[in-house]
Amino acid sequence: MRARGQILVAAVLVVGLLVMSVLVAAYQAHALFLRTRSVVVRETAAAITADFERALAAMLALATRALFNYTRFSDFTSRFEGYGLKPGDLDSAKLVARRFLEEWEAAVRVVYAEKGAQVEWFETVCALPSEVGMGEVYVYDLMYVSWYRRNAGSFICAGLNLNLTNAGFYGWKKVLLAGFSLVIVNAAGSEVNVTARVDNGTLYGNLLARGWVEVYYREAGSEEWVKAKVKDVVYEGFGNYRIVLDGSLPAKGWVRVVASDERGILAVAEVSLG
Amino acid sequence: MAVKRRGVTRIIELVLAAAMVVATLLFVMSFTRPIRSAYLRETSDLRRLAYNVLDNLAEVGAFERVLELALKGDAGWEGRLRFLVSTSLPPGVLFRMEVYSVSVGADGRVELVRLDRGGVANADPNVAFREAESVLYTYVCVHDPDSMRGRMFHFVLMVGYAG
Repeated sequence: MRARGQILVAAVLVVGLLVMSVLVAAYQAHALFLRTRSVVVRETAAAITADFERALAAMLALATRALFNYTRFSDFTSRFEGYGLKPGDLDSAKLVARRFLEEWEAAVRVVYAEKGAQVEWFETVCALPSEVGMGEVYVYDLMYVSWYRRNAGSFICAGLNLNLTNAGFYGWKKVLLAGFSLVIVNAAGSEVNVTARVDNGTLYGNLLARGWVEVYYREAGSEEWVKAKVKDVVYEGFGNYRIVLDGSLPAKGWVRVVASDERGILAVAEVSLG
Repeated sequence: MAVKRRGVTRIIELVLAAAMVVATLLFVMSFTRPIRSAYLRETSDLRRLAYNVLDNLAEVGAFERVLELALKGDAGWEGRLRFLVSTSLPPGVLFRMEVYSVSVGADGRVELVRLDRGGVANADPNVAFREAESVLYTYVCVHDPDSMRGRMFHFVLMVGYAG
């Protein structure tokens, strides 16, 4: 009886040890696999997503520049004439953007072929962030441009599906909204105050360092827009800028502020004076 | 009654023995490191470093400025890019970078044209890398100047330590 009991204890100990060893080995192998795989996938997926966002921003910049002044930005716009881009035509700019994004998709498939990249962009609907102050507006049909009003903005919305089959990574999906918006807070005398935001309503603080801003005005009864001479632009924090003009704005008429973020996306805001 | 008590004792022995085995294994797992963990940590650091360098240069619009020179035929662009990448990397880390222009034909065929001549590197071509990581990167130009916006490029950056 005693010997049988000892054998039973010994057998259980050995079996327990074996089971635990197998479990630990399996756990370590899984952890090793995750550690070595997830880094590659995480950074590759992030790099592809960031490039997709850049592609969207570039196409929105192209559309807004073609819309505002095709000739002035011809270094950029003329390269897409072959794609069917027309001056002042947002619909043609959307078609160009769709073709460009298809090309981007093809390029990514080739470049990341060793990772088994399956990439597909798609059009979807995005709600504009409330911070922009443009009301309940949705971006569909790829782009939304609303200018010549106090709260102006340019936006592009699309999604990305990504699989990296050689890394066992499936189902990555990201919807991106890129854009630039501008609000004229106040315009009187020789000062214009504006607030700038990018993408999902993030306050934009790089307008002076990386972007640019211009002011135009039109007197009541006149058809001609005059470019105002900007004496100084002061960043007051939280996306707010004070533009000081050399001279005063007319007492009655309209003022127009044109601004570009660092990605070249334009927004054109306008208010009446007096 | 005596037989029943012995059975209970055996069960208690079993539980105690199993607990000892589990405790021993847990201690062993806690105090040992995975095999070659230093090697794994090092290569993933290199990969992360390479992506960070490319992300930082992309963020500040450095690629547009340098590659504009390349498209204009300025021979000095490779030296400028080499300087930018070198200053972004810690001392002792070697790199080689390849730069391709990406274009897509009307038939949808993707064409990669290599722009550099092997000059974007801080190591001689015959230097072998002991440990190295290579990362792929596509880049759509978004920053100034306008002549670069919307152009596509592809970079291969290899970073590592000398053998």
